[in-house]
Amino acid sequence: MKHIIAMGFSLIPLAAPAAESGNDLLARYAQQAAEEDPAFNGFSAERGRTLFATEHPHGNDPAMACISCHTEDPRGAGEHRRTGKRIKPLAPSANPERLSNAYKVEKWFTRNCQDVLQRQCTPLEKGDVITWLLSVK
Amino acid sequence: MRRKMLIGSLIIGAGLGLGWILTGAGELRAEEDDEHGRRHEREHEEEGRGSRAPAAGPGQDSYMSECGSCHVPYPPGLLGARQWAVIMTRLNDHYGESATMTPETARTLAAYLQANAGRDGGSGAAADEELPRITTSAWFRDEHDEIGPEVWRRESIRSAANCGACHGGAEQGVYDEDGVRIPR
Ligand code: HEC
Ligand code: HEC
Ligand code: HEC
Repeated sequence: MKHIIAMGFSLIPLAAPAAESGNDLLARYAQQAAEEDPAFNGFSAERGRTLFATEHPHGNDPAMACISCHTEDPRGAGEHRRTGKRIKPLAPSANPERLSNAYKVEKWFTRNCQDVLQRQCTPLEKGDVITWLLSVK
Repeated sequence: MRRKMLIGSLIIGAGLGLGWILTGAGELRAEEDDEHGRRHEREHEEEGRGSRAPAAGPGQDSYMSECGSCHVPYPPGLLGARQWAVIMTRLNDHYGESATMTPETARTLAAYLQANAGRDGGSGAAADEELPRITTSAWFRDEHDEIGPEVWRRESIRSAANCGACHGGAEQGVYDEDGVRIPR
């Protein structure tokens, strides 16, 4: 519940500017992560990659994961697991539009984390995923 | 009736669109006679055969990107105003998935759908739990009655809601016969 409330507010500061870089995003998630946990000492691409690939079985879905719709290699195009719709690569190195709009990134974390983890992602988790997506060249 | 409703919702327009939904005014239309409805739908269909491109107007761009990110942007005319209203009030549990968005965006899209809605069909939203679907409507089943159950289940199709698997122009709202190809 605490996370959900925090999310609601974090939409506001993140909503304003349109074009920016993944690094701007990281700076803000780092600030939020440090507020949540004073022991925060940086993001990890490896943790981000693991979060992305980890299956979170629940209810009618034994293998729900980020990679159910995206791909293990974020330079490749994914496919929505239910509707079949093609999803362009998430890595900015393959698709420069990605991570360029904080509002959009936050919108998809809100939806996708809810569906996969059945809760919101923490700033640490979001920073880890973005660090990983930026690291893939 | 349909005409009146269309004009009505056009006049009510963008600003009041949400009020229309929230007050549940759309419910009043629920009582419509099914047969009558279907006949009109048919006529409508004959006129608009093929292209069902989401209409130009305020909200179109937003509709194409927001409601076209997880699936093709379904033609607004394929569901009725009441049905869209139900869908738009349940975005946090959208057919089992989260499609949450800011209230402003939701309001823009709801108004756009109200202004471009078709006629409320007799099917869909049967149980309270269930959201209305295009793919369970009578005309949809009619149009697609040659397609067997094993075809719908193909890995290349997955779901009847995956219009783009067979209709090459679905991203643009074009559903004419020439563009249809059922994948293996
Ligand atoms: C049910 C399918 C689905 C699942 C599962 C899913 N996503 Fe997504 N994701 C999407 C779609 C659809 C988009 C929007 C695609 C577009 O903009 O073209 C998206 C977009 C994103 C974006 C937006 C990037 C940008 O800048 O445009 C990020 C980040 C993201 N997803 C991360 C995740 C993470 C992390 C998970 C796992 C917790 C996840 N996704 C699971 C469907 C999914
Ligand atoms: C986060 C992903 C996502 C977004 C965003 C989204 N949808 Fe959906 N939608 C789905 C999924 C998943 C289904 C179920 C598909 C299936 O059953 O195969 C669905 C189904 C539907 C259906 C029923 C299709 C049928 O079977 O007839 C309609 C209508 C619909 N969506 C309208 C909308 C509208 C309008 C918007 C914009 C306000 C929207 N969707 C945005 C994921 C999404
Ligand atoms: C499995 C493939 C397949 C899928 C998926 C599919 N359709 Fe069709 N559709 C067809 C076929 C085949 C026809 C019949 C074409 C003909 O008249 O010969 C058709 C006909 C139609 C027609 C009538 C077109 C005309 O000009 O007569 C419409 C409208 C239509 N489909 C809409 C949709 C919509 C909307 C969706 C998604 C919600 C959808 N279809 C999903 C295969 C499909």
